[in-house]
Amino acid sequence: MKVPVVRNILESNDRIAAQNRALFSAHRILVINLMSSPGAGKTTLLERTIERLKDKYRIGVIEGDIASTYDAERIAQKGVQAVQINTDGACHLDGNMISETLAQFDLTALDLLVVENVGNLVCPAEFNVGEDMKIMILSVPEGDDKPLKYPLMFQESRVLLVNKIDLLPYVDFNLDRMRQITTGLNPHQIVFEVSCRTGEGLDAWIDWLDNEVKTRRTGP
Amino acid sequence: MHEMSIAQSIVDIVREEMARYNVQKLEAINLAVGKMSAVVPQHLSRCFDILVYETDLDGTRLNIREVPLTYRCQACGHGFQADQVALACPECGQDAPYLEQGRELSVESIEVGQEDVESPSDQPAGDM
Repeated sequence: MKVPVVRNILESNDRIAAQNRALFSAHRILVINLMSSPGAGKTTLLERTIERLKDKYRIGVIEGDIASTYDAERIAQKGVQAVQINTDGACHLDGNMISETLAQFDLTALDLLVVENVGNLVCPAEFNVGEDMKIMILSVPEGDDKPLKYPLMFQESRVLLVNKIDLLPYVDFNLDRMRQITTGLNPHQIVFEVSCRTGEGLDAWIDWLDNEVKTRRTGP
Repeated sequence: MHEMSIAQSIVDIVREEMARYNVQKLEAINLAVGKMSAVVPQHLSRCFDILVYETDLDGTRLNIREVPLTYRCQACGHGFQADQVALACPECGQDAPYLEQGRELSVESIEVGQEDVESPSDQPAGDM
């Protein structure tokens, strides 16, 4: 005999993520879940972002990696608090990992918390950690077909940063073709074209993020 | 790649339901897995088998119903199924059709032997 259950398999993660979100909200912290494939430039984008905003806002970073503390050390050198989570093989961060890490932060002394997820275009898209928004990076050497191949992440991300645009002359990446696909998947997605190496396009991203943090601090 | 943690969540949910209905043994677990979810059914089955090996759930069937991508156009209202991600409505060409089905990741029901189930305290066990 069949007994109906009808429960979302991810409900326990969603519950913990909601608790994290309530905590962040009470402290008016803007929380970003930053995702991309390995090597797209998450840590470098963070370094550039911290350099420009750290005098204005109190920033914290949670670094998710399968192994090593290399990224947390890079971020700490920029003068902000960085806590490393090693997932020991797991392909994504989840709400519980973030919740367990929060004790290491003074939430009353944070304006912006960035969660740098494990490099992976698949799994992190399914797991909320309590963020205000998911932001993703696609670097042009990866190819303009990636939104078609990994649609969920492109659908879930409020912002898409197209990175390494200084390499456009050398790779077969058609920005128009990519925009056509991403518009079909997520027409309200905000897109910034940047190069973290040359700094091109970063002003628009920083201005946008600055405004988001400000709104979070002063908003209702 | 995260099928093991999904399998663990399934086991947690199923154990809660077994306790609620005071069931000792399950015949099957029925899941709905949308084509857009980042879960590979074969991997999930394998992870589940490994997880329940030599436990009371060992031998429980994991039935996975794959839910196809079902869209509805937000301009003309046309509803359609697609094998691949749809970027536009095939009828009117409007961008970004709304994904109505295909994100599912749920335990729909459990199957128990007729003699093994009791009514739970909070609500009656209904036949489906």
